[in-house]
Amino acid sequence: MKAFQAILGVWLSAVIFCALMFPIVGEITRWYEFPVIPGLEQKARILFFHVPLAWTSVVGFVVSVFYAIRYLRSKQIDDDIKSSSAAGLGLLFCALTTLTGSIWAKFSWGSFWNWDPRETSIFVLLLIYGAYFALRSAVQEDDKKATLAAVYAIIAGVTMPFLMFVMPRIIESLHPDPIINTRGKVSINSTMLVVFFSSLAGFTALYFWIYSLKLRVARLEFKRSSAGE
Amino acid sequence: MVAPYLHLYEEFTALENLTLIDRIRGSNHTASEYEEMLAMVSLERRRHDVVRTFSSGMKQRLKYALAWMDRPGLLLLDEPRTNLDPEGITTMKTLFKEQRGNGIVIVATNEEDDAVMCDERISLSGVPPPGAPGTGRKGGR
Amino acid sequence: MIMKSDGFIRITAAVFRKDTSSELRTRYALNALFLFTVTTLSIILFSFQSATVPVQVHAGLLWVLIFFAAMSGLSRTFITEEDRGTILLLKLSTISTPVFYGKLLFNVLLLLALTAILTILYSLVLPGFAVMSMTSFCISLFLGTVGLASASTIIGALIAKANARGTLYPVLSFPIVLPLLLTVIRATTIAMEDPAWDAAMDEYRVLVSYIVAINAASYLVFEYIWKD
Repeated sequence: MKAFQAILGVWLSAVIFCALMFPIVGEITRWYEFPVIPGLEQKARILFFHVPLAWTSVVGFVVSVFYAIRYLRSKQIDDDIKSSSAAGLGLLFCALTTLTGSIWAKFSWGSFWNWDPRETSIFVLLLIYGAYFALRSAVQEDDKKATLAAVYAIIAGVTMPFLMFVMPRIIESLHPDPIINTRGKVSINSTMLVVFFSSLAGFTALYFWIYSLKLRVARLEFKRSSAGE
Repeated sequence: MVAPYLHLYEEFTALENLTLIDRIRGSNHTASEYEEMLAMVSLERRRHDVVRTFSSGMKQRLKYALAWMDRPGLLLLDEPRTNLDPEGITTMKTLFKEQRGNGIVIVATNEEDDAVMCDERISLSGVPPPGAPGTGRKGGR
Repeated sequence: MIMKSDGFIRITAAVFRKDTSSELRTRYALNALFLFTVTTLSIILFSFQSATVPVQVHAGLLWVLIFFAAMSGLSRTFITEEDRGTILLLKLSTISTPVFYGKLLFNVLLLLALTAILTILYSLVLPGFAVMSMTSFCISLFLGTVGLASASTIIGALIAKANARGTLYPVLSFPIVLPLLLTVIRATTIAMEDPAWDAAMDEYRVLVSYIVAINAASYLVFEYIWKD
C-alpha cells in the first residue's frame, strides 16, 4: 500500500508538472511541446484536470450503482456501505468538476454558466448526488435506508445516459469536442494524448485510493454505531 | 388475516370493500355471495354505508368477512376478540369452527378464552400453558 | 405466486379501479391539482399582462406548470396507502407488480387529464400562444406526460416510505425528469414553430426510449420497495 501511494504521488506530480509546464508553441519541434489549439491556447491545460475529474465523478456514480444492485440482491449492509461511500466521493469529484468547468467557461466563453448540454449533465449529476443523500437522511432504519437509496441510484443510473450521451448529440454544444475530435477521429497531438491519459489514469487511481480509505472509515463507523445500540 | 393493525378503506362502503379487495385478489364472487358474507357477520343492513361511519366492532366484523370470503387454507387471527361484543364473539367462534374443518388457524392472543378453542398451544412467556408443553405461539388445528 | 397473464391484467385493472373510485369519491388529488392550476395561471397572467412572449418561453412555462402539478398530485396513490395503513391489506391480497401498474395507469390518466385541461386553459388565457403543427404538439404533450407520470410514480413509491415527503418529492424527481423535460420542451417548441408533423422526430425517439427505460427500471425495482 505504501508503495502504491508513493507511486501515485510521483505519477500525479509528474502529470501536473507536464500539464502546466510544457510550452505551447505554434510549430512542434521537441517531443515535450504542445501544439496550439485555435481558440484555446493556454487554457487547453485545464483539459488535463477538468476532463479526468468529470470522468471520475461518473466512475464514482457507476460504482455506486453497481453496489446498489449488489445490495438489492444480497441484502448485505456492506454493499450499501460501498455504494454510499462511492457516492460521497463521487459528489466531491463532481463538485470539483463543476468548479473547474466554471473557471474554464469564464475564460473561454465569458461567463461562468451557460446551460450547454455537458454543463447541464454534470449539474444534474450533482443534483442526483444531492438527492441521493437527502433521501438517505430522510430514513431512519438502516436496511430501509439502504434499499431506498439503492433503488434511487438505479433509477438515476437509468436516466443518466440520456443526459450524457443522447443530448449532446442532438443539441449544439459549446464544449470543444468538435474542435479536438474533428471527423470523429481523435486528431490530438500525441504528447498531449499521453499526458491526458496519464492524468486520467492518475485521477482514477486517486479516486480508488481515497475510496478505499473512506470505505475503511465508513465500515468502522457503522460497526461503532450498531454496537452502541 | 384479521388483526387490529389491518386497516380498511374508510371511504368505501362495506360492500365495496369486499368487492374491490376480492377483485384485487383475483377472485370474482357474485353479488349474492358478497351479501351472504355480510349477512354472516351481521352487517348486511349496513352494506351501503361507508366504513368511516362504522364502530370498531363493526370494522372488526368486516375484517372477518374479508378474511373468510375466499375460504383460505390458512387463517391468521391476531387478538380475535378485539372490539367485539358478545354477538360478534359468537360469530367469530362459528367462523373458527368452520375453518378448523377446512384448514389451519393460527391465533395470537392473551385471552385464555381464545386459547381454549385451540388444539395446540405454544407459549411465548416462558410459563408453560396448562396441559401442553413447548414454546412459540398459541396455535390451533 | 405464479399468475396467469389474464389474471394479471384483471388485478391491475382492479387496483386501477379502486384508485379511481377512491379519487372520485375523496377528490384529494383532484382538488389539489385544480387549485394549483388556477393559482399559477392567475399569477402568470398577472405578471405578463399584455406583453407578448416568445414561443420558447411558452413551451418552457407550460412544462414547468405540468411538472409542478405532477409534483403536487402524483404521489398520493402511494402516500395515502402508507399513511392510512391500508398497504398491509394490499400486500396480503396480491403481488407487487399489478399494484404498481394499476397505480401507474392511474397516474398516467390523471396527468393526461390535467395536461389537457392545463394546456387548453393556458392557450386561452395567455397572449401570443400559437401552434403551427397541432399533431406534433399533441404527440409531444402525450409523450412528455406519459414519461413524466412514469418517473413520478416510481419516485412517489420511493418517498412514500421516507419522512419529509413534501420537499423530498421534487428534489428526487427533478434530476430524473430533467432529460425528459429538456427534450419535450424542445419538441413542444418545434411543434409551435414548424408546421411539419415530424419535425421533432429526433425528440420523439428520445422521449419514447426514455419511457421504455424508466418503465423497465421501475418494473425491476418496485418489488424491492414493496417488500419493505
